[in-house]
Amino acid sequence: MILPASFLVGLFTIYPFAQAIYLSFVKYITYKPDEIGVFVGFGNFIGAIQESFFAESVLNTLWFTGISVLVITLAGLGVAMVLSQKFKGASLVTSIMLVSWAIPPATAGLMWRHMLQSTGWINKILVDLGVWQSPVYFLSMPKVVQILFAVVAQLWQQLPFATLLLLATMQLVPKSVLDSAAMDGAGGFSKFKDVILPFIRPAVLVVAAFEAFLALTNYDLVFTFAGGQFGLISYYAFAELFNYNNFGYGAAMSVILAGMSLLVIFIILRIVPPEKLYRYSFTGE
Amino acid sequence: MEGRTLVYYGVSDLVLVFILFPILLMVVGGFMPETELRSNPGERLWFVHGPTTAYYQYILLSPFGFGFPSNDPYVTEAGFPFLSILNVQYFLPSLLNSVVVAAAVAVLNLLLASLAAFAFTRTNFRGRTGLFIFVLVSRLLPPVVLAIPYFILIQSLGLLNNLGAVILIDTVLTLPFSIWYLVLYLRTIPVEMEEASLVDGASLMQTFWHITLRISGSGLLAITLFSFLLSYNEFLFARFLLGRPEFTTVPVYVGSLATSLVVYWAIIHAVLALTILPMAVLVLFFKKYINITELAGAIKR
Repeated sequence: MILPASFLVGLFTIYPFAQAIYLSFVKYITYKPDEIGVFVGFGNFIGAIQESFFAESVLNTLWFTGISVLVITLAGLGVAMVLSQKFKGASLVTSIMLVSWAIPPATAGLMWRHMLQSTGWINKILVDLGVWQSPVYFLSMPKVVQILFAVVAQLWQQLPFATLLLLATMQLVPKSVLDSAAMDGAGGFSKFKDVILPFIRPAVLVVAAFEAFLALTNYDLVFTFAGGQFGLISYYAFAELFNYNNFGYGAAMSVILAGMSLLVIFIILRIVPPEKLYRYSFTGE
Repeated sequence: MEGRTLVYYGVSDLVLVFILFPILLMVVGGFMPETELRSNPGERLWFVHGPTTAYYQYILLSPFGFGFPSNDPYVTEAGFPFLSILNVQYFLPSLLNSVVVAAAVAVLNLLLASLAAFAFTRTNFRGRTGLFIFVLVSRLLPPVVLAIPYFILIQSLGLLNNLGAVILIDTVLTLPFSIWYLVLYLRTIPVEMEEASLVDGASLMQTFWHITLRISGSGLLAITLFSFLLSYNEFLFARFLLGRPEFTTVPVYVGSLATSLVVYWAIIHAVLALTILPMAVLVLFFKKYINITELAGAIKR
């Protein structure tokens, strides 16, 4: 009965992954059909790494991931803090916020690309209102800076998710703990730091890990945002695949990416022992 | 306390503006003539010429064979020389495809995840722990890794350009999360009712159908919504599995706009607005049914 479900997931997850690994060790160029399946050891990896755009894409990806994890986690924390206070409209804001998370990242990317154009909204509004004298050419800035803008787009999209998760966890802090802290004379900030923060630490780490994963493997948003001007590893793995018809290289790149993302996630989550994640969700402690 | 409350209002207003304003701009921008959208900042050409519904009309009507509904040069910047490259008439069909795929994925998720979660929490079978860990871990794989082998597989099966392939892979992508969520959710529900029904002689399946499903309504709704959302927004797999422009899903269509050689911002605005609005409505409508606190509480544990 449950076997179909798990079997399906298992089959379609393990099998392609295994095949991806296999492919990354094997030559597979579609316009050379007689050479398909030739075992090349680490040749694909080495070749993929040596592709001119690979190094740059790794840097881009790491930069994007680092900044977005920081920004989104902190922003989510801050907004969650505010929204956890009891003021009128707090829950309404929380609900409405979700809208930006629900739309395709592709849409968000394109949207922000337009906003930053020289004739785009940000420039239009700010110049017409007289705040700036002349338009700022956001999209002509060096790629490093452009990635920061991509982070803004990602933040726009992910903020509700991060905020919601952290907010809900905050609301679970037992009142008794808060009360006794207040009685002990803890002020606003100290209350947050010493009481709430440790309590929500697992959630913060989960959010950070999740955002890291999303950023590392991001394809949709960056693709429509940059339109090919710069890319993350996912993009190049893909391009390698379809533009150059070299499945071997593409597979190698994606395997590298998989390794990286697993590594990052495990590092972040190290602080919460991984057993907790499955054991507790399981046996009901 | 006044100051503090002001800060709260201020921050939340800021957040709201940040989130909603771009969306508003998209909607409004779809009504602005192209010339105005392209004007240099500082020329203050906003709505000088008056809003136009031509773009929205075109998007909504072109699948039915209508041409561009306006000859006003202000609206059709320089006559729209390459408008047809944008293939706007494929937007509505892509919307249909997206909805079909997402709905199918949601239904599949509902069925399979509930069965799986039920089995994981209420029954005991060999390898339960291992399988569960496996399900969790499969969430951690970047989709790109699966993309290449999956492509080869689908190609060899001759299933390219088939919505079924997309439905399949989207289901595989969303199932782990659904199963995990439902497992956590079911754990918070006491087993007494199911035990009682089993004692009364019902089989596992009967128990599942009549009791478990009834009780876990909220959780089921949550994963339905979530898997719908996720597969609607899915870009990577849809892009290479559906090669022809007349037969894609919404995000892929948007992607083609992003890379096309021709840029008509007004139309892009209108298209984006049309992709955003349905999802916004969906989310706002269902928000009250989904209790995030439960979810977070479960995650915390």
